[in-house]
Amino acid sequence: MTVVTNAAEEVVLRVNELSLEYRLRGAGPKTLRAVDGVSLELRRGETLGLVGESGCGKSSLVRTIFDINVPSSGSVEVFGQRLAELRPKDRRQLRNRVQMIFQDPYSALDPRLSAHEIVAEPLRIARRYSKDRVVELLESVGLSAEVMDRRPAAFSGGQRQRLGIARALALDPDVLVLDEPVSALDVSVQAQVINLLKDLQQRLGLAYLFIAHDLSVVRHISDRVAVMHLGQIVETGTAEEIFANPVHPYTRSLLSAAPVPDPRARSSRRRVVLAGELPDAARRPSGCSFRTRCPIAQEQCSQQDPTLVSTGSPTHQHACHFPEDSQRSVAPAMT
Amino acid sequence: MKFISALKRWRPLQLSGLLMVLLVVGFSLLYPLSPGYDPYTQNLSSILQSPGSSGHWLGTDSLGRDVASRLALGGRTTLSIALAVILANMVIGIIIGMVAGYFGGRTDNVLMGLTDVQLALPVMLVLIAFSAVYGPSVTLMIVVLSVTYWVGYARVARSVALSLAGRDFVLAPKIQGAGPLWIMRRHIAPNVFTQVLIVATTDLGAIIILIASFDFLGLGIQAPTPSWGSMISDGQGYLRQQPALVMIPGVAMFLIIAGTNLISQRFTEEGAGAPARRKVAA
Ligand SMILES: Nc1ncnc2c1ncn2[C@@H]1O[C@H](COP(=O)(O)OP(=O)(O)OP(=O)(O)O)[C@@H](O)[C@H]1O
Ligand SMILES: [Mg+2]
Repeated sequence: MTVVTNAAEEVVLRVNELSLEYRLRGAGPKTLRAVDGVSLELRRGETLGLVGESGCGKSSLVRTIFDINVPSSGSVEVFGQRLAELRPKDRRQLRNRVQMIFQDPYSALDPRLSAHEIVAEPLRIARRYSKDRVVELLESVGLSAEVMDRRPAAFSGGQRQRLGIARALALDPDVLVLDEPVSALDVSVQAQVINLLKDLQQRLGLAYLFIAHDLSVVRHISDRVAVMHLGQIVETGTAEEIFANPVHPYTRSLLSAAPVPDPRARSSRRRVVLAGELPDAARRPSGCSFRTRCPIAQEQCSQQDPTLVSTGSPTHQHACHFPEDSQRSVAPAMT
Repeated sequence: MKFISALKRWRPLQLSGLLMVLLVVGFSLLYPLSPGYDPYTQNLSSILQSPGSSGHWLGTDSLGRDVASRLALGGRTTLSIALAVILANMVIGIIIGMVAGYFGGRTDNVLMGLTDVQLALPVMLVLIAFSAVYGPSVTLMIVVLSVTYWVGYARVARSVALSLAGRDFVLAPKIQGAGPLWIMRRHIAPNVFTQVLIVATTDLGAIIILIASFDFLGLGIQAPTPSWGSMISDGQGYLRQQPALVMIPGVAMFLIIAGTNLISQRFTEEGAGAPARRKVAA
């Protein structure tokens, strides 16, 4: 029997119940669970926006996906194959189909290498180097071949991020994992880089796992959105569902914190300021990890950790014991 | 010229250090080209001549040999052995340190344990023991020194590797399939080299003293090949009659050791990026 899959529906990257624990030194807790049973699915050509505050474990998740940190449990699948179960040669080949863009374009490039060498490196590693390919890559991200001999210090933040993108595209990947690719850049440059990314996605059919710490960045490029809080996914759905009909109180408060471009919409919206800081990941609250900051928390929330459940729609899931209360009392949705 | 403009940042004392080293090295390299060069011919009718005497501007030793020639040849042998020894230790230390720092964990513990072993080894006793078994020779001294002086390089290389191992620009090629060898060679080693040079200039003095003391004890360079250490030990017997025999190689050693220390001071400042990068405002 053959399974017929629609090419557009093909899952290119799947993360299964992935967890990561950092071992801590010194007094206090011995471990810090930075990623806590995260599952994600990314289909060919789509963009999944992953949003959460600073310190919620986004980069840790990325590092675990790329095997920089060894997961304490869970697995990563690329094109339906579990990486951990493959022979090294096959694993490397499959790994190369998923590439990464770093959060900080300043530390992501070796300051000693020229732009040419930086983009050429993955080609050299794979023994596929050609100068023409490097030029082609540079041009595909909007850099001219003339800048090839310059070192990173001669480039602006936006240009550096372009170099990082060119490097990531060198091995013809199907997936880019972008860890806050624009948050280190000037606002004016952010839009340019995002446009470039959209452009590349269309041209090359790339799937993006696009990470950001606020929803406004993700809003215009995501097909689906996942919201992360303290290492867990607390709500996920299509972009429309998340922005028009958020269920989890955390999602709702993130939305109310996002700047609203339309002044008329602004007045009609109550701001819900998050109560308190993101809890220390090493001293996670019992039950629901959001309850210490939640305006509608009840007894049950401290006893039972809510799991992701479907709302009415099959694509929309949330992890809250009291979704109805949330919709009634926490900031109204943006329309 | 780049080199000249770099020299402008050197402070006077550091510049004089450079001059001291250049003086001794230049003399050792160039004097053998002069017509009066003859380190071996003995002349028992003119022994223990004072510096400035006719034909021997640094005098003669107890066998009437020309001290200037012997100083130059002794310098050549001592300096080239010192450089070879430093190079060997540098290679060993860089490899051990980079591997320890890059891999961390148990590898790090084992390799750093090895450095403790090396530190606990009394170089002098090891050389004496081996000399007793195999007979003293230059080769033996070079071999022993080559594997007993790398801890400084290993520590520096380790700390550089450790600080770079988690950086994004090192992770990027790793994600793209580069092996540890690739990453260490392309992304870590270049940063290690500049740091290690500082250690090398600092070590040079210590190594020269060690070589000289082995020669002094007869465990290193063997007669009749001159070395600074053997010149001092030979001259010792004639301290009353001709103190210059001890002082001349002593001064050469002092110049090279003090000089390299002053230079290494400059390199340390440069490495720390201290007052070096002063740009003239346009
Ligand atoms: N190497 C480490 N050892 C111990 N704890 C760590 C380590 N790296 C990160 N953490 C902790 O894990 C948690 C998640 O960090 P992470 O960097 O993944 O967050 P993030 O969502 O990427 O934040 P940001 O938006 O600031 O990049 C934080 O509490 C952080 O302090
Ligand atoms: Mg991060």
